[in-house]
Formats: sequence, C-alpha cells, structure tokens
Amino acid sequence: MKSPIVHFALLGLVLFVGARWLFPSERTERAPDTRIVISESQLAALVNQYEATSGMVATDEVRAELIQRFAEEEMLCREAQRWGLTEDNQAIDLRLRQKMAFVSDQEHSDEELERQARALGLDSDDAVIRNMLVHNMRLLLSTKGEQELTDAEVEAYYERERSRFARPARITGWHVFFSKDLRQSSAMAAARAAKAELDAEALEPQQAVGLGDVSPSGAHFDGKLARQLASRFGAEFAKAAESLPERQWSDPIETPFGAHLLLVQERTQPQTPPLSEIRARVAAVYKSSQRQKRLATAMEELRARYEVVVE
Amino acid sequence: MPPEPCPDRNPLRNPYVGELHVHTAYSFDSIQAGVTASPRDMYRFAQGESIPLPPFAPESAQRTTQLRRPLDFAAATDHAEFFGEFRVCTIPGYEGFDSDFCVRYREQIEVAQDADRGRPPGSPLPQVFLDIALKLTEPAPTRFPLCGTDDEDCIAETSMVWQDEQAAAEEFYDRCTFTTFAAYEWTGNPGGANIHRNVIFRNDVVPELPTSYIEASKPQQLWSALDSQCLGGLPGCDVISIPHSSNFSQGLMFEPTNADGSPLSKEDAEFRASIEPLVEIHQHKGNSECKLDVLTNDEDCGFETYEKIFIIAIPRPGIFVPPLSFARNGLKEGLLQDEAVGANPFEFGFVGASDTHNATAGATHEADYRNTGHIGSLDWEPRRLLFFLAASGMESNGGGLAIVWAEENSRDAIFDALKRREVYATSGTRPTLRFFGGWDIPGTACDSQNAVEIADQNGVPMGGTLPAPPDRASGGPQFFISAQQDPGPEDEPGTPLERIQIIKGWVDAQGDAQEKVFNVAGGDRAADVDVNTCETSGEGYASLCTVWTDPEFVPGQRAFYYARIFENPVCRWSTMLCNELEVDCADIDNVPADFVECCSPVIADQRVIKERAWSSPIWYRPETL
Repeated sequence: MKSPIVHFALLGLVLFVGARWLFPSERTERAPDTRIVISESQLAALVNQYEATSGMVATDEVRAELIQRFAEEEMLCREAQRWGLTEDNQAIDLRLRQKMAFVSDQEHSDEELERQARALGLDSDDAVIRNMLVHNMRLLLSTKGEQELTDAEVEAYYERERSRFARPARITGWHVFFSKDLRQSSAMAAARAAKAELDAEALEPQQAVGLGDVSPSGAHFDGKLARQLASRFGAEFAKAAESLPERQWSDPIETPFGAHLLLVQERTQPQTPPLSEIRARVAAVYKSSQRQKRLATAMEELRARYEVVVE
Repeated sequence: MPPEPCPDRNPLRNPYVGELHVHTAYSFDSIQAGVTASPRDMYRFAQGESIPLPPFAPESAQRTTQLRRPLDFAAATDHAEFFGEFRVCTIPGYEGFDSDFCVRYREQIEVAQDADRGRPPGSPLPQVFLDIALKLTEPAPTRFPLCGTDDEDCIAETSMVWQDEQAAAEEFYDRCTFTTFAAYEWTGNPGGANIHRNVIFRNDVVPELPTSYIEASKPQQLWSALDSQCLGGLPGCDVISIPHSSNFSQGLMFEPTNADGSPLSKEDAEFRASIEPLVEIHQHKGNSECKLDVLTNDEDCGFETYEKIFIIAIPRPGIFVPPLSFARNGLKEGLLQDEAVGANPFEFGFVGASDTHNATAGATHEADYRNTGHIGSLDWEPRRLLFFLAASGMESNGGGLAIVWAEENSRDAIFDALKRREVYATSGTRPTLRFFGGWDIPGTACDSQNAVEIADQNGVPMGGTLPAPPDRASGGPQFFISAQQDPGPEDEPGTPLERIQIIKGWVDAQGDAQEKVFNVAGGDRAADVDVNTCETSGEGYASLCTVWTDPEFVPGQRAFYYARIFENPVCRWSTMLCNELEVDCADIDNVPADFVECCSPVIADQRVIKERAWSSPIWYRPETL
C-alpha cells in the first residue's frame, strides 16, 4: 500500500481532474437555442406511453407533467452541449458510429459515419446519449461551486431543519398474554375474561400480567419503536400500541401468538437529539440537500430562460 | 463524552434485524446488470422506501420494489475491486475511457438497461462480465490496462467511490433508529474458489482506501492490511471481516494454514478468530452450514445447496465438495486446531445475508425473490430467474438475514454484538431465537416471566464460551433455548415453528471430530403444504422454550453447541413461480421452452422448504476446568 502522503497527493489529482471536467475553461460557450418545440405527435406518444404503462387516462395535470419532464431533459441536453460535454466525448462518437453503421449499407470511415449521424440529428435524439448527457449535466449543476461546510453553517442548518432529524415516537408498556400454544382457540375468550376482571378491579401492571401466561418476549417493553413491536408481536399489536390512549388496558388483540391485553404507559412525541450527538449526520444530509437545492435553482433558471411550446 | 443511551436500551439486549451484504451500482456486476441504485438508494430501501429496478426500457418493463418490513441496520458491501476502473470507464476525459475494455463495458450497461436488447435466457454471460470475473480468479491479478501511469487514475477514482460509500453511510446513520456501516467486499476467487469476505468498519474512522483482491490476493494479506491500516495503525478504527459462500470455496475457507501453507501457531489462530468472528452461512448463492454426506449424515443438511464448484459452472446435484467448504466442518476443524495449538482459529458465529445486487437490502421474502430476483436485468423476469439456476445461473434463493442481540440500535452496540457473536442467521424470515449455556440454569427457567434474565445471569449468551463448571456440577452443561415464530408482515401471518435442535460437535477420545443432532423441543405435528396451491395445513408452535442438558457430556472433551430452529414447511419461491406460470411437468411436451427449468431436478425436487435459523455456537473448553 502507498503511504498516506501519496493518497493525499492523489486526492489533489482527483480534485484537479474533477475540476477540469466540471469547469471546462477552454470551451467556448455557444448560446443555445432556447425555444423548445414539442409537436402534437410527440406529446401524443408521451401520453400513449403513460396510459399504456399506468393503465390510467392522462389528466391535464399529467399532460403538463409529461411536457415539463420532456422539456427539462431537452434543456439539460442543450446545456450539456453548451458546456462542451458532448465534445471529444468518445462515448457519444462510438454510439453514433454504431448507429450509423447499422443503417448504412456502405463502408465508411469513422469520421464519415459520425458526420452522417450528426447530419441526421442522431446525436440529439438518441436515448442513450441523452440519458448520459442529462445525468452528467445534473451532476455538474448540483456540485458547481461546492465548498467545505463550516460549523456555523451546519449549526444553522440543524436549527432550521430540526424536525427532519426528529426521532420517531417511542412506546413503553405492558401486555397480558394468553398463549395460543397452551389454550388453542380459547385464548381470545380468556383474554376477554381477564379484561372484565381488570375493568372491575384496577391492578398494577406487574400484578395484571399474572392473569395471563408467561410471554417469551417478556411482559414489559421499554422505549420501543412501533416497528420493533411489529417485529416481535405482529402488525396488529404495533398498530394498537401506536393508537391506544395511554394508561388504560386495551380490548383483546389477536396475534399469531394468541391474545394480548395491552397497556401503553407512555408514548413519547418525536424528539430531535442535540446537535453534538448527530453532527456528522447533519453535515452529510446538509451537503446532499445543498446539491439538490443547487440543482433545483439551476433548473428554475433554465426554465425561466427556455420557452416551451406545443404545436 | 459518551452519547445518551437510546430510549430502548436494554441490558438484556434487543433483537435488531438487518444484513451486511448488499451490492449497489458501485459493484461491477450490479452495474453490468443495469442496476443504477446508489448506496443512498439502498439505505432508503432498507428504511422502507421503494426503488426502481432495471431494465428501464421499454416502459412496459419498468418496475419498482419495496420491503414488506424495514430493517434496523444495513451496510453496502460493494466489490472493492475495480471501484476506480469503472469510473474511468464512464467518465469521458480519462485516457482509459477509450480502451476496448471500457467500450465493451459501457455497451453492456446499455444492453442491460434495455429489455429489448436482452440476450436469450441461459446465454453465456457477456464477455466483458466474464473478463472481470476471470480476472478475479487469477492468483495475483493486476489491474486492467486502463488506469493511466502507475494506476493513478484508477486509484484516484477508487478514493472517490470509497468516500462516497462513507458519506452515504454517514448520511443515513440515525443512531437509535437505523444503523449503517462503512463496508466493502474483498472478492478473491483464486482458481475459481470463492473466498470472498465482507469488511465491516465500526464507525467513520476508516483507512483511506479499501484493500481489494488486487492489493491483497490472500485473505491473510487482507487481514494484515486491516491490522496495519486500521486496528493497529489508526486510532479509533475497528474492523471485522466476514467470509461468505464457503460452499463453493473448494475447501479453502476453513483451511487451517497460513498464506504460505504452514500450520497455524497459537497466535495465528487467535488473530484469525479475532478478525473473523462471524461467517455468513446463508445467502442467495446457497447455504454453507453443511451438506449431506460431506462428513455428516444429518438429513437436514440438504437445504438450498448450490451444487456448484464455481460461480459460473453448471450445477451438478450430488457433486463432491471438499469438507472444509462448510461451516459446521469448519467449527469441528477449529476444535481440532484448539487441541493442537491451544487456540481455536474457527471460533465463529453465524450471520445470514441476501447478497442482493439490486441494492434491495433485506429482500429475502420468498415471494419478493420470485417477483424481483436479485441481479438487475439478468434475472428480472420469470424465464430469466428460472434459468438462473442453470447454466450461467448465479443464485438459488432469496438469501437470509442477520438478527443481532444488542443493547441498543447504535454502531457501537451492534458492532460489539457482532464481535462477541451474539447474533444469529436466518434463511430470510424473522423468528426470534435466544440461546444461553451455563451450569446453573434452572430447569424451570422457561416458566418464568424473567426467563431471559435468569438465563443471562446463569449462563453465557450465543457466541460465548462456557465458564468453568462449579464444583458441585454433576451433569453436563444446560442450555436455555427460546424461540418465537416470525409474526409475519402485515396481513400475512408468519409460519409457526416446527422444532428446535441442538447441534453438538466434539473431539472424541481418539482425537477425531464428531457431531450429533439432538431434537430438544417441538416435533413433527404432521404439518404440510400442498405444492399445487401452496396452502399449508397442520399445527405448529407459536413459541418453543426448553432447558436442555447434554446427556453425553464428557468433561475432557472440547465441544461446541448451536441451536437450529425450523419453521413448518412452505412452498419454495420456485414452486410459487412455476404454479403461477401454470407449468405442468407431467405434460412436459407442452411446457413452454422458457419455463422448462421448472421441471429440472434443481427445482422439481425442491418444491417445499422449511425456513430456519441458526444460533451462533457456544463453546466448551476443558481448559476452563
């Protein structure tokens, strides 16, 4: 293995290569055509495709969405050209040669095949090339100008987005268990009888569990997520634990194990831990959300700059 | 300052369900199968969100998938080999981008994403796929010639991928709620023998680069790299390596030797046991617990066998497999080593995993596997999934899960539990299994509301070694085993349990390793499943509990014990699928060619399965006397 110093140098190289690719300074910007025309037949094809796969009729909203999606991809492709992402891109050249060689019945040089393909507009309507350009352009827009986060930025983000880091509700409680293995089909009836007893005479949970059978998962549970309760006792039990009023015994709940009377002692509200505990996660989420935001802003600018018409 | 304890922190430990073997689009074989899901998508999926799967064209082929129940923890374990190469192949501007290899590589990605361009099922794998796979069979592979001067381009890009894997793990680690680990897979196949390992780090303190099969072509070299770059060389760094798919390791996985073939010393054995505390014994490429007639006559060892000696070989039922390809034989070899050198190199516990290449962590449900497969467009539709069992097939089942007994759902608590082997493997379902061994566990423990507390106070949990017996101990050690059935996802009750077994291995008076299976609770209640409708019948047990004393205990004989539980029989995924396709093997001439695999012995002779779970073992060493 190489030494850490070499790795550090390599990281520099990565940044250099990345920067060269992301900010191609020597490329000449060309003003792209900012009018996007979607023909009625193109729109019809999009709508047909949607209806065939979803099995639903496209509403006006859906149509608008389809137009928007189509237009945005087109914008990204045109921007990619403007940024020079299509120049000296052998992946695209190769794709064009392959497609052209397929439709052409004569032998041609590579350059000639590429020229013909471009003349036919294959570079702008090939799905694979478009996908690649759209992907690369999105990446470029989302990381443009990215810098290391400062502590203050992370703190501000945490304050702003506290609820996003909230931890889900926790449930603490008891259950009286009536085993299907021991009682077969009479487990529910036994639970109902015990519920009547509890209704008649209030018992501490520790005593109440004595009305039932030994639960192999224990009679008490502490600070559990609903998901954990579902995993131990089944979905019905978990749903009841999420919705029951606190500090009163439930009616019998049937699970694969038998029947349960459930007492929710406490259900906490979702809570956000202090920043010191989750700083790394907050920073990671912030960085990733910034990228999404950068992309969204860039897309907004593009949408403002482009005109989209259906004709 | 240590963080606040989690709300569900439990000194008696809670079960957390997850897995540590998942591939995303950073793995060469995933991306070659058209998969685009990133490690972030994988974590979202594990938390219950849906993700799209290839192929993506035409639109009629598009599909999404979602877990029936989320996981508590997960790790992306992408193949560390070629992390950088495949970036070089996909980023215009690198010299290697135009290499013939990269051109073919990109072409295959395009093919894989478009169902209309798919090769017929059962075709040989694409050449570029084979080139990569074969590279990993070389005894000391070098990089493909596309990495620039001194391989700098590839190493630089490897660093980018590794950093992104870490960033994704960091972004989704939500202490107390959902745990992630920085991880990767070391993918060695010398001569075709699978000796793969997943490398799992405790936290965000990790080496700068992963150590792949290119840098370290022997497991021992991997461990020394982990030792020098992490355990011994980087404060705060901690790591384990988890071998998997020993079933086609050609006996190499549990070979008790050093890299140069020399026998292990005591120190070698101790080091190995400490860095490899676990073995993944169940996953989509078959089961690695044991195989019938390979040093065992245990009839239950014929479960999800892979029947191949090499990943891209044709399965041959009944094929000879060297004994040290199976974990149970590895455990027995460990006892013999302990006799010989005074330390056990194979003191390992068990985990299960999916090994999915779809980024679908935890997608082990039989019906989910039937619906979506595990490797992108290579097994996306029924005819491809069925052929995956044949000629170029790579999988056999939906794989398994790991269920960890940890105080709380945090990296430290789960990693500690993994290291002390307090974890068990399942074949994909989620039954609960507790296993303790001791000298003073009361026979009535199961009747108490505090059964686990009693067992914990009077014994060691799974993964441990029995303490010295108290003077007054007259008989053998007692084992407390408690199991509850998987309650199942919503609106889909799980399957009741059938029985609990204890598997004991020991060294006899002649110095030979022996094994025996004891049925200790439950039993056959004539439960059955109709293979035509998949309807189940008969009774089972929602829970089973017993305290078992080894009736054949001999104080001077070292031994291990592990618990195995079975669920009642159900239809295997392939039975569900072939029924759905209305295949009638009695009328074989009219079975469509696409579905004839339904009638091959690999499928037709394995229509019913009993899902199961395996506890990590508990050891007994006479030295404690």
